[in-house]
Amino acid sequence: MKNKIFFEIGFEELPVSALKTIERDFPLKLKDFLISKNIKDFEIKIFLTPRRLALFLENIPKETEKKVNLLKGPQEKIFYKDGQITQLGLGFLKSRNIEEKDILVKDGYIWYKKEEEGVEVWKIFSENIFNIINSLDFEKRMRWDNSKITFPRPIRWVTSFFNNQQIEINIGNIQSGNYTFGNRNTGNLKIPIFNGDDWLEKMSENYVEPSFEKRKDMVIKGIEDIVKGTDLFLTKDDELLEEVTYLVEYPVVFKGEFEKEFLKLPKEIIIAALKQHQRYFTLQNEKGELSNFFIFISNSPFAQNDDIVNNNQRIIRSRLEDAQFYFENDISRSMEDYEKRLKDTLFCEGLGSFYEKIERNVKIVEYLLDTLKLDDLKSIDLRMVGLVSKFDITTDMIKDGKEFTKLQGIIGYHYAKIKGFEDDIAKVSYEHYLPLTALDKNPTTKLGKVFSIAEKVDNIVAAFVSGNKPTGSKDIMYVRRDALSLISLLVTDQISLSLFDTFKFSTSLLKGEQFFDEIINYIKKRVEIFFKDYYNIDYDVSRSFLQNGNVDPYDIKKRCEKVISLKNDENFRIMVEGQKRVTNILKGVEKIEMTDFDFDNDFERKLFEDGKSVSEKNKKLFDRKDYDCILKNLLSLRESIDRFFDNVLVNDPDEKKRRRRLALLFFIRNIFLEFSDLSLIVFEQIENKKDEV
Amino acid sequence: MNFQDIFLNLSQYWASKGALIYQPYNSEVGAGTFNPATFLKVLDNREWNVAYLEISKRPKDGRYGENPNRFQQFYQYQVILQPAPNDVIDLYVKSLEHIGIELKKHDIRFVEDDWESPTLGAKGLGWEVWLDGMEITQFTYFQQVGSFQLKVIPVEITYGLERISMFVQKKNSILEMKWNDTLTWKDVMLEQEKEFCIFNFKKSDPDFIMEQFLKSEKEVERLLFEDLIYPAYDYVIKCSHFFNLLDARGVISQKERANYIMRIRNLAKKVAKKYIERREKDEK
Repeated sequence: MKNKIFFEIGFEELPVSALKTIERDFPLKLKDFLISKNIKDFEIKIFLTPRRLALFLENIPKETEKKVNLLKGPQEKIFYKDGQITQLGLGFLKSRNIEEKDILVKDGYIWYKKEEEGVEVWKIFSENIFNIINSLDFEKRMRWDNSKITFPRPIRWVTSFFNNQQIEINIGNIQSGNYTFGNRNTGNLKIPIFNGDDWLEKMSENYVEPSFEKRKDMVIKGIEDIVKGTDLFLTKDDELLEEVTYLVEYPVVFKGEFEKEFLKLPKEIIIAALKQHQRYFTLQNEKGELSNFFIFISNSPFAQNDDIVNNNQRIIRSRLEDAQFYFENDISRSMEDYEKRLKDTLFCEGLGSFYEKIERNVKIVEYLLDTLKLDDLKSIDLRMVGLVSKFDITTDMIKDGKEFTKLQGIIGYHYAKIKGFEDDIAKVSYEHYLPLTALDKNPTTKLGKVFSIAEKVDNIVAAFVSGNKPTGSKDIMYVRRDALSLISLLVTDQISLSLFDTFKFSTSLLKGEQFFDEIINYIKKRVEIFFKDYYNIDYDVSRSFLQNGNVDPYDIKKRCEKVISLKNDENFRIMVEGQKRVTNILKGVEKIEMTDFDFDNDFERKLFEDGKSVSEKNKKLFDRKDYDCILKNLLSLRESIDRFFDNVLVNDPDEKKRRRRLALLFFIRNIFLEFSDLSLIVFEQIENKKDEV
Repeated sequence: MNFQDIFLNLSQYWASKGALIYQPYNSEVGAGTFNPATFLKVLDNREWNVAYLEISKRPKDGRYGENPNRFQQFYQYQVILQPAPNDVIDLYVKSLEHIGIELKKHDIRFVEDDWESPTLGAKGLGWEVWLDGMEITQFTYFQQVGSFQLKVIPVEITYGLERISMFVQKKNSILEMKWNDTLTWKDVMLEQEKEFCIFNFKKSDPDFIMEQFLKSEKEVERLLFEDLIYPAYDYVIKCSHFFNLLDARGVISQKERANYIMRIRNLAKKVAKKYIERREKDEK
């Protein structure tokens, strides 16, 4: 039982994401496979570097166990006739090379045993190992030669041993050999190996530490040695630690330094330059302030310390110089300059400049301050806040197009502070982009919230008006994201706002009235999807509230919750059925106003009077958004509706009666529509029952 | 090692490995990939090994010569090996030794970077090669060019020559980088670099450039109709350059950029399609 298999597959440097996929899924897949082949009690050891995946499979048998399988044959009635084996039956026995005594009759079928011989484990392994690796769910794959194989990066060598015996494995154009390669930085030597243990020795001789954990410890230890005895602390960053450990085969830790004057730059800029691009660790002092020393990890055991440090320092200096060049240019410009730049920067073809976009945002904000009664913000110079919110897109730092571009909003905040704007105003620069996705962080200030709403509403309208509305495959103006963020902000921040009215206002600013219906329908759809995806509210429920021009997501959510709580209530169900009846009768009928009150029976009269009273009561309740009482009042109409239908013929041959009764139903339907179009609610059980009949 | 020795040595090295030594293209390109010796030739699906210097114009990247790593015009050394040889990384690494980089003294790293040229509809997987933390080369196995999947996979190696040269010469500033024994980059390039920066950022005429963009866009269609693939492709390149100029001038918004890029990509795709059709006809 003391056999082992060693396997190594070598590739050109694999991306970190692919290495993480291997680390997460490969051991499990391999284990499942071995168990499926009846191999037990094995041990798996995995080694993973950017250039190799190695595997030690220990404590395995030479061959898999013999297995007896019970296999199904023909039906009993075909095999036997009158207790005799048929011609077909005899043919079956012959074809399987068995006799009558070998078979078993069960459940109307013939069964027979078949022994499966043990198979040499190395053989199973060699035939399957690459399929197991390649069945992993990699984000991206590529081709590199004329084989059909795809992998995240080219595969360059394979080597495998069963104990001391080399195993033959073919992967695309590559055949396994008895060699491996060392660290690229020490000459990428081709190294012969004789077995797995030999491989381990050769790795350490050739500056490859195959164990992820050991490499990680080397990094941690290296950093500790550097900060020990200084007043510097590592800015802990587990994600970066994992990443750099996956970028090297033999980590050597160095300390670098940049000129202190760069520390005058906003911290986020320095961190973007050091961490995001260069994968350097930042250091801080006791007070938590960013230090001008940093840590970097190299993959090169022989590299001369001075050279490598100088070169890395030169890189970071040039990046910081780039940032400083932008920074100084940027802050030297006045807000008037930026206003001019914003006027020169096209927001969207046909819709003018960013300055015009800001003007629209500000107008929407003014509208929102009125609608949401935020009178305390009215004294603020909103036009200036609008400029502050966007001016950073015309700064050199953001236009850079590289790592600093991701700081859009943050840069505006810092620059606005430098220019002396109050914190709340400066913050609008990044807060008006929030939330970035559904249920993400919302803006924290009132000003941030209204500017965020305005930004998204105008973006959405702009996309439709400029002919860039989202389609199934294309959404170049990110309408979907903006709509979802907008709805999420309103709902999670409990802001009650009619998007119907807001979009009406916004479309008028862009003279896009003809797009209004399309836009509001799109928004309604997004509201339904948002509620379904994030609150598991069924489409029928949210849709029932979107029929009457009330597109107020927060309010709809509250109403939905009420309806959901009633969905199992029998009275409610009957009321919904009643509404469906009303809706069906009125389908295709042009709306008739109530002018004729000469009711000729009590059922009509009673329905009208009850309706009138509920409508009046509810009017006040709507102001208070007391949906419990509103629903209760609506439910109270159930009886008079039922009795009306049971006793009155709506489509009376008498034209006058018919019109009066239809008008009454329109009147009743409207009372319900104020709350929701309940006829859209679906009761699954009832629908199912119908199907069964 | 002087700047000029670097590209001379690279040419010698790749010629010795069997590559054809080509020359820069005559219209303004943003990268060596635009050169028909890459863009069109890789669509052939045939063996094609080529190396050439390319003058890359990226108007937005100019820094008036003040930043050591950013220029509105710089030199790339472009190598295409189709099909990609198995030992291509070793071939590349050895090329660095030919230009004065002693590998054992440095940290060379292949950092994931899936290169993409959205305007050319070209994509590939590969890396930025880092030398002691500095990107010196883009190394890509093309998968798609002109929006078409490639049957024979080429590798593209693009060296950033100024950076490599500064590294080799241990210079902190591009200005001091020696071009030959007597002249520096400053002597040769600074005046031109500064003027083009002023032009790109401040003095170009956006209306005029826009007009040229729109006319060039139409010209591509017209020339393709005439079955003139190379001239049509030349106007795709011009469109791309005019777009870059408009972009540098700051008259194209973030949101609008995508649209322009898509327009150029569609033109490039039409050219590629026609080119592929012509090659297919040749084979029949």
